[in-house]
Amino acid sequence: MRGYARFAIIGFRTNLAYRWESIAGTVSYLVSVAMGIELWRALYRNGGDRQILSASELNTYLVLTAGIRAALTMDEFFIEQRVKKGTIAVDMMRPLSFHGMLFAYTIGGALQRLLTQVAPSVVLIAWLYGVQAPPSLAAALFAVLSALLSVVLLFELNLLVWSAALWGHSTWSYVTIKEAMIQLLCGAVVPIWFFPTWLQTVLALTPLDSLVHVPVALYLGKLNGAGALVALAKQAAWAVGAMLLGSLVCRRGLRSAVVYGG
Amino acid sequence: MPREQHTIASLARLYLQHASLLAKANLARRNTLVTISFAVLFRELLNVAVAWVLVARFGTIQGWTVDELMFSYSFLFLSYALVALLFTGVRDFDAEVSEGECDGYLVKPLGVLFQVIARKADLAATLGHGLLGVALFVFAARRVQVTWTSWYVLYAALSVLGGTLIQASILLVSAAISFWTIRTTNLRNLIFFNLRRCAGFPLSVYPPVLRFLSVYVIPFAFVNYFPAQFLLGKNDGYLTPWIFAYAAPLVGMTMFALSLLVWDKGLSRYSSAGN
Repeated sequence: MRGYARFAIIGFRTNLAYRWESIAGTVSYLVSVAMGIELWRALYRNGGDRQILSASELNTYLVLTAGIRAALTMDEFFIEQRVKKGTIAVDMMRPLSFHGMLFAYTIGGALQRLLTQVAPSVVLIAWLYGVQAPPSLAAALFAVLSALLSVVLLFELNLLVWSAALWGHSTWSYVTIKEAMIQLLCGAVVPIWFFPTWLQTVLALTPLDSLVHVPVALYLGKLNGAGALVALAKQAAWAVGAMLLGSLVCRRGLRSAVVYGG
Repeated sequence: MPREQHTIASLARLYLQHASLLAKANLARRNTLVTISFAVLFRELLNVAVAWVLVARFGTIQGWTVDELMFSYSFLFLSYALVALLFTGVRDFDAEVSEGECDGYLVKPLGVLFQVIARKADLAATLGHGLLGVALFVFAARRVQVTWTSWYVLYAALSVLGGTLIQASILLVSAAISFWTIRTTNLRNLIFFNLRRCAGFPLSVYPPVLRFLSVYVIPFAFVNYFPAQFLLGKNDGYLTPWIFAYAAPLVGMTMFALSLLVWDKGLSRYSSAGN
C-alpha cells in the first residue's frame, strides 16, 4: 500500500512542478467555462428551453461538468512514453501491480488539479454567474459518491485506449478520437437532455452518460429517489466491469510488450 | 555574416526541394498520416457538430442560422489548413530554440525564417482541417443567400489568405519571443485556441471584453467573422464600422509585416548574445 501511496504523491507533485503550465491550465478552464456560459445565455435569450433546465440550473450544470472534466484530465501518454523510453521494463519489475500503480498516480494528479485548479475556479465562477446549492443533503452525497465512481470509470476506460501502446501502437490518434467522443457525449458541452431522444436512448446503454452527466444530474436533484439509486448502481456496474476488463487488458499487454533500448 | 545572394527563383526552387522531401517523408509513413488526419478531422467535426446541434435546436443564435454559422466556420478551417501547411515551423519554433536546434539555422547561408518555414509542414492538420473546411464551404455556400459575383469570390479567397496571415503573425510573434528565452507555448496555445473556439460563433454573443480582444488585440474576428458577415450581408447585433469587413485581407498583411519586425528584432538579439 505504501508503494501505491508514493505513486499518488508523485502524481500530485508532477503537475505542481510546472507552475506556469498549471496556471495557464486554470485560466484556460476559466475562459472556456465563461465562454460556454455566454454562449448558452445567448441561446436562452432567444427563448431557450426552460422546461428542461432553468437558466440558473444551466449555469450550475455547465460549471460543474467543466469542473469534473478539468479534475479528470489525465496523463494520456503515460504508458506510451514508458514503452518508448523503455522504462516500462522497470515498472514490470516492481513488486506492485502496474494497473494499481497507474491508478494511484492518476488519482494523485486528479487530487492536485481539484485542489489547486478546479476548486478556486469553481468558486470564482460561482461568484460571477451564480451556482445553485443541491436541493437536499442526499442529493449532495449522491453526487459526491457518483463523482468518485466517475473517476474510476473514466480511468479504466482510458486505460483500455492507452494500453494499445503496449502492443506497439502510436496512441495519439486513438486518444484524440476518444477525447472528442467523451467531450461531446458525456454531456459536458451540451447537457444530454438537449440531445435528440434516440441519442439519449443510445447513450443510456453506454457508460458515457455515467461519466459527467449522472453526478451533475444527481447534484441538481434531476435524478432522485429510485432513479438516483438505479443510476448509481449502473455506474458502479460499469466501473467494476471496466476495471476487470482493464486489468485483463493491462496484464495481457504487459506480457506482449516489446521493449527496445537499455 | 557573409550571405550568398538568393534570387526569388532560387528560393522558390529551394522551397520546392524542401517540400518534396517533406512529402516523401510523409508518404513513407502513409498509414500514420492517414490515421492522424482522420483523428484531427473527427475531433474538429465533433466541435462543429456541437455548434450544429445547439443552434439547430434553438433555431438561430443572434440571428445567425445553422447554414450561416457553418459558412463562417469554414473560413476558420480553410485558413488553419494553410497555416499548418506553411507555418508549422513557426508554430513549433520555441521547442527548437530550447533544444538548441535553432543554432543550426544560423550557420547556413540562408535566411533563418526561410529555413524555419520551409523545413516543416503539419500535413495531417492540413488534410484534417482542409477537408472539413472545403466540405463545410461547399455545403454552406450553396445554402446561404450569397450571389457569387467574381468580386465576392476574389474577396473570399483573399480573406482566407488574410486569415492565414493573421494566425501566422500570432505564431510568429510568439516564436520571436522565444529568442528572449521565454517559453510562451502554453500561454500562446491558451490564447490562440480559445479565441479560435470563440470565433466559431458570432462575436455579438460574447461580452465586450472578449469582443475587444478578438477585434483589436488578437484579431481572430478578421479570420472568419467579418468576412462571413460581409459576404452574407449580415447586420449583426455587434456593430463595428462596416469598413472592417472590407479590411479583412489587409489586416493579415499589415500584421504579418509588423510581426516580421518583431522577429528580426528577436533574431538580432539572439545572434548577438552568442553561444
